[in-house]
Amino acid sequence: MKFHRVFAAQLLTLFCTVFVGVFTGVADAKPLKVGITLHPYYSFVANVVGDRAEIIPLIDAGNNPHNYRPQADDMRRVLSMDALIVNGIGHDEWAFEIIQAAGRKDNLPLIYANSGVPLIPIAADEGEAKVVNPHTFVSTTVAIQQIYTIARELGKLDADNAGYFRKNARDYALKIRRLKAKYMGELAKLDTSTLRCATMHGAYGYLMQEFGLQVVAVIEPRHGVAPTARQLGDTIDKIKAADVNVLFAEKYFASNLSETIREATGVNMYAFSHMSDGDYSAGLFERETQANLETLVNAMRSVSASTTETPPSEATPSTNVAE
Amino acid sequence: MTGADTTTAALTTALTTTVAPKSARQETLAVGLVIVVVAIIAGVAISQRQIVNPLPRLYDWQLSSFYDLNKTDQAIHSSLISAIPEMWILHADLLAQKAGSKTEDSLPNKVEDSPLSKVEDSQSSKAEDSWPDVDQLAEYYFVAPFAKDLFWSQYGEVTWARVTTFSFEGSTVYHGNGGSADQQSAYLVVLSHAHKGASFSSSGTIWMNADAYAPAPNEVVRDALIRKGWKQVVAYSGDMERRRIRN
Repeated sequence: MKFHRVFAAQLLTLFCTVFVGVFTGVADAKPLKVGITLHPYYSFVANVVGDRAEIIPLIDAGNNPHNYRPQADDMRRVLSMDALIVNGIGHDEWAFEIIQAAGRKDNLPLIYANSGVPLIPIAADEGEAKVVNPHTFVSTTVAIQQIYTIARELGKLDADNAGYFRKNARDYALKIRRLKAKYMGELAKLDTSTLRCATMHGAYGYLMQEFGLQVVAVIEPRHGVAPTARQLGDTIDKIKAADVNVLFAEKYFASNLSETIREATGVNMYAFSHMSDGDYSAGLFERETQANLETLVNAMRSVSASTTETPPSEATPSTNVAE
Repeated sequence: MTGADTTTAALTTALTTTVAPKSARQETLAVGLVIVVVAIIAGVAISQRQIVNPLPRLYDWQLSSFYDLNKTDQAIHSSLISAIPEMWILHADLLAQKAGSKTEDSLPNKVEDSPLSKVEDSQSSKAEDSWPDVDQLAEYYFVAPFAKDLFWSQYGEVTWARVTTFSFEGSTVYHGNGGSADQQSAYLVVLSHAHKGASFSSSGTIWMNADAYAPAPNEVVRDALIRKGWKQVVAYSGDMERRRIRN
């Protein structure tokens, strides 16, 4: 009788061990559910994880991340995530409200894409208090650094796929570098020394920095915040004084201000993508980066042509905002 | 005088009676006490609201990438920081090639065509050969600031080289000088000894010298660099900004 009891106990222990092992094995095999806050991070993660993780955008596409107000659905989504990738330096502060409201402040691993990125101030703020530019994703070089950070941190959460993530990160980084190199070659043929540009929004500092271009003035004090009449007047004066010849407006956040400034100063206008619109997709970052670099080359061509006294009919039209 | 007049006079007298404070001194003390209590509460509240400065305190041999660098140096510093993980990854590839193995994350389809494979064929297996040289970084991987592209020409056309004399110190050093941009510095990237399993490391330090033509140093230990006029650049990173925002 005693023997039977011992045997039954051993059998039960063995069964439990196997059951727990199988169960946890199945649980471990589940792909990570990786949350993201901004469109470019969707592209970064999609290219790093391939089909070995599920990506969950924290907010629906079509919202402006600059003035987003958290919704009930956001909390439902954050509850299902294994980790969340954030900008963390001022561009997705609403994500922390959502995390707090959903009660995941202490149990949701956060991956700060910018943790090791050397930040730069918003362009053209010399003489004023320097403000950090959080738009590190509108770039190529700094974007690559974030891609490596994301791959490394995801590899810590999913050690079995760490090597796969690393390899994908490298391939993706090389693709982005090749894209940049292609337009570097285009720009190298042009005389960039006469470009004097201003931007509507402070989003493009990192992009311009990696092409060696300086931004003379930024129109909006904050994104979506219209400057006061006095600020606008000062900016127009600044543009005239600095002899600005190109104004980069925004592709998806059109503003009447840009037209006002164009009329007051006569600058050529082009539109950059802020990468915050459209559907989430793996190819969005490359597509929008290519469009931005194309725009940059066109602007440069226009400036370069005007300095070599090309007839106006051959130059790029002065208004290119409506894309 | 009628009876009504008498009543009115009595009421008037009653209404205009002046009541002196029990003690003017006591009232002054009470007001003073209230002021002291308010001041103490405000003081405690302010002390509890102190913001911890997230910025590391810099020594005089250090520079802040955010506050102390001009635009040229800032751009080159940013590109070097981004290049460091790439250097480590290529280093891991070269080590794997020397060991005759390939890791899952190596780039077999590209490395075979890349200059890295030629290094393996043509050079010895000295420790410094396991790091990519400047031409490899520039021509095959388009890594700024080494690639001779628009960035390079806009930021002073710096001459870069990998310095191969520090292997005994366990460091690999890339040196850039001779830049022609206004107030440009000379640059050093110091990658410390690679530990096993550090293939995805991003560690490395960047130093700048106000003399744009400063030669590569003979030693890369801190005090020797400081004596030669080099200053370590401390990046204002996303981590620091995050701590500032959260505080």
